Amino acid sequence: MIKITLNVVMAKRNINTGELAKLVGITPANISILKTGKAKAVRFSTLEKICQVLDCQPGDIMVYEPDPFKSVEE
Amino acid sequence: MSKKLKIGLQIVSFFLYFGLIGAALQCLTPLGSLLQLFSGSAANDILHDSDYLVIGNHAHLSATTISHFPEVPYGICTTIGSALLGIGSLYVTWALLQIIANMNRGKYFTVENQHCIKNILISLGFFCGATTFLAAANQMTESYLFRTNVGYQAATWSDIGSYLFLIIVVGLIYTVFNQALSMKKEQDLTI
Repeated sequence: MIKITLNVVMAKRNINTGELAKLVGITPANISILKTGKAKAVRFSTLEKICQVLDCQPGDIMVYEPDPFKSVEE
Repeated sequence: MSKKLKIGLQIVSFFLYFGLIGAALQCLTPLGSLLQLFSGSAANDILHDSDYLVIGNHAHLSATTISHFPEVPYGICTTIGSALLGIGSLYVTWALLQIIANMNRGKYFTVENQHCIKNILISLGFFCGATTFLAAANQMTESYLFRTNVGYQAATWSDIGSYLFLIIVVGLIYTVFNQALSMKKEQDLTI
């Protein structure tokens, strides 16, 4: 599964949801959806803006963690 | 939403409110059927009812023929049939009114509309069941009293096929709607 670590990067940069949303150009509700891991997909354009604003790599805000209960066939 | 569609929906919902009253009244008809069942006057009522047409040259029937009419099975069939028809009518009318209300609010692909389509599907099942019982009742009047029902509870065996076809059509729409709803949910959760 993909684990979102956006809140960690945001804490390091000392930026809150509202500020990030304003700088990225999306709603705070969407940032919240992303932070809580409820998002189904992230557009490349949004990812690019987030990385640009937070000065990080995509791998910094999301990491892959293997799910021991889920096989590849599923 | 276009102005024409909005006016059209308002007209449809206006008539549907009348339909809702009709459906509520339809729910009372099983009481009449039950009354007929317990009074044992079904055969005589059918012979003097304008909703029943004479088949062939059987305008006059002997007392023996009338006495052989299965009043209890007929009463049970009409009671269950009209009850199912009433419940189905209420269900489908209410579901359609809710869909129109949601459309007026600009809500198209919503969970409420999904439930409404499901309710329409269920009501078609009720109609199918109702038609089966009413067709059986009509078969009894045709076979024993040589009278066919042409009133609001007229049903033939072929009507069941029509309802089954409608169930397939609405079932397909329901499946497509479910797919569209899940796609919309995914779209809403795309950042």
